[in-house]
Amino acid sequence: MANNDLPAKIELVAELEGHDDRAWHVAWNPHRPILASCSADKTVRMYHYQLNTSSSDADSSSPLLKFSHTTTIPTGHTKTVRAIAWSPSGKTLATASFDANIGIWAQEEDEEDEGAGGGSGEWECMSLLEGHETECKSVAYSRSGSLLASCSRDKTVWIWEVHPDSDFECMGVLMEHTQDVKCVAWHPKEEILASASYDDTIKLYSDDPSDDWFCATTLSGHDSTVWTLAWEPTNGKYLASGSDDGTIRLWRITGGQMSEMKGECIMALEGHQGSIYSISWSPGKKDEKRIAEDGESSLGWLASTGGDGTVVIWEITERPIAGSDRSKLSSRKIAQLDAAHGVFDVNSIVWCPRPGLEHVFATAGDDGHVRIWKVEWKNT
Amino acid sequence: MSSEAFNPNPTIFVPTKSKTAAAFLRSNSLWLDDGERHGDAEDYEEDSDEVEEIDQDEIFELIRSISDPEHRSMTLEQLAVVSAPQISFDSADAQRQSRRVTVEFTPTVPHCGMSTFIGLSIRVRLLRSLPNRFKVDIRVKPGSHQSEHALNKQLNDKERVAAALENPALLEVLEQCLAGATP
Repeated sequence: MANNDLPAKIELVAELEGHDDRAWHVAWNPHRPILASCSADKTVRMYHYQLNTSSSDADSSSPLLKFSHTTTIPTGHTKTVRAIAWSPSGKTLATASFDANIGIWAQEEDEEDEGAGGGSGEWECMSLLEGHETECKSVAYSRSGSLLASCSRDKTVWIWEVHPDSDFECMGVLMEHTQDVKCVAWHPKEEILASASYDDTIKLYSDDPSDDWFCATTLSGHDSTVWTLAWEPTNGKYLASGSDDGTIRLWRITGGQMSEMKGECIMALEGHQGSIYSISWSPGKKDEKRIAEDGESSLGWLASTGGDGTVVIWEITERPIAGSDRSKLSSRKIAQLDAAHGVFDVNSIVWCPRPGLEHVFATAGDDGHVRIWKVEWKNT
Repeated sequence: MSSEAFNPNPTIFVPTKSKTAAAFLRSNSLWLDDGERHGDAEDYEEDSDEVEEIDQDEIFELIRSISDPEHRSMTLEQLAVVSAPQISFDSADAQRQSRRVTVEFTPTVPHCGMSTFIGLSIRVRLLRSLPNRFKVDIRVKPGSHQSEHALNKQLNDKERVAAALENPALLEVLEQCLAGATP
């Protein structure tokens, strides 16, 4: 198959079973070795993982990471838990449910457990954010952790300010979309929020000096529902979007809090048949054998998946245009894996954010399973 | 549900006995006879190692008895909302383990407010009955409904379908329709 001609390969590291129904989403804790997954079975499952040190590096047959299930949070949500998000501190987990609420979860203080990161203490619901009228579809913490965004089929995006002691204050209700809002994603550096919708558009929001949040620009171009968003992780100069139209679009975002924000579609990636449900963008790992062209720099790896069950890894590179302050973007498919969860849809794909594990990602499927994968450059 | 019927006097098209694709083809074609069909069937059975492929008729058999949400005593087949020829498969792709089925249905009137519900009932019946490798697309017959695009989009959004099935009131009516026509 053509996948063999690609310069990198995708290998299974672990398979985590346990959800009784479709697994919707996975989230890696940014600081501790914890992976969380959520499902239509209304639970959140927590796994601890560690580097496999039981064998030498040369033994490629032993998996990179070992996972163990630590706890299952019943959540108390009365319907599907659709999405989860860790706060940047890694101490709090937010759950977005079809029951229209956002749950905020933290672990009982357990001094002895500090550092071990096993997550053995009980997870407790610290706060329940009510306000949405219908199903919540996505939730996300801003880079600083001081803001939380949520979205719903009620067409709104809510921005919450995070106060001490799990106290949240609504800073704005953005009613810009004409349909169901599917995904929210914060800029990696600035307080800029992106939302994707069933109305086929993407909207970018910022706040003005009087602290009112407003829609700064609308990105149109997709021919159907926009399911998923991912910012270029290092500088946030680009935004990627995945759609039911089967394409991933890359948008150059200019301006920001100080000047007028604009988004221009500069590329469409085609490689999936049907709905793209999830994308994730990581700094990636450099291909040592590839000689970089003048001024070329890697913007990392973009992973995508969806209803076709295929996982595709794209490498995105940027090259300055001589005599201009602009740059040219290029992409190449570096790896592909078909039937990542057998015949089932894959709902979520998320790169591991932890140092040294930039080539590891997790997927969640309609089979209720979570799978852990790694991407390796091929030797020959 | 509103008290006003979207289509108070629907036309009833066929008797309750099964009308399969083969029967449809025969009644609509001068070129097919029983002899030819039997020949095909024998060839097929010889291939015993193959997974027996589900055909148009079997899918139709699963959905024909669903009752109409507005006229509970009648089935979708009787109202010609569904029919075997409106079921199609994508060309077999050996690379893929999954198979795509498209089920088209015809609302009885172009302003039928029950169309989303009918489409949902077809989807749920097939979700519960077909092996996981079948990926189902539900569409209204082109030109048969004033909100064709919106309907198709809604019926094929897995998140919206999943959420609808967590609505107890909706699920109750759905189960009644799936249980079949009640005179």
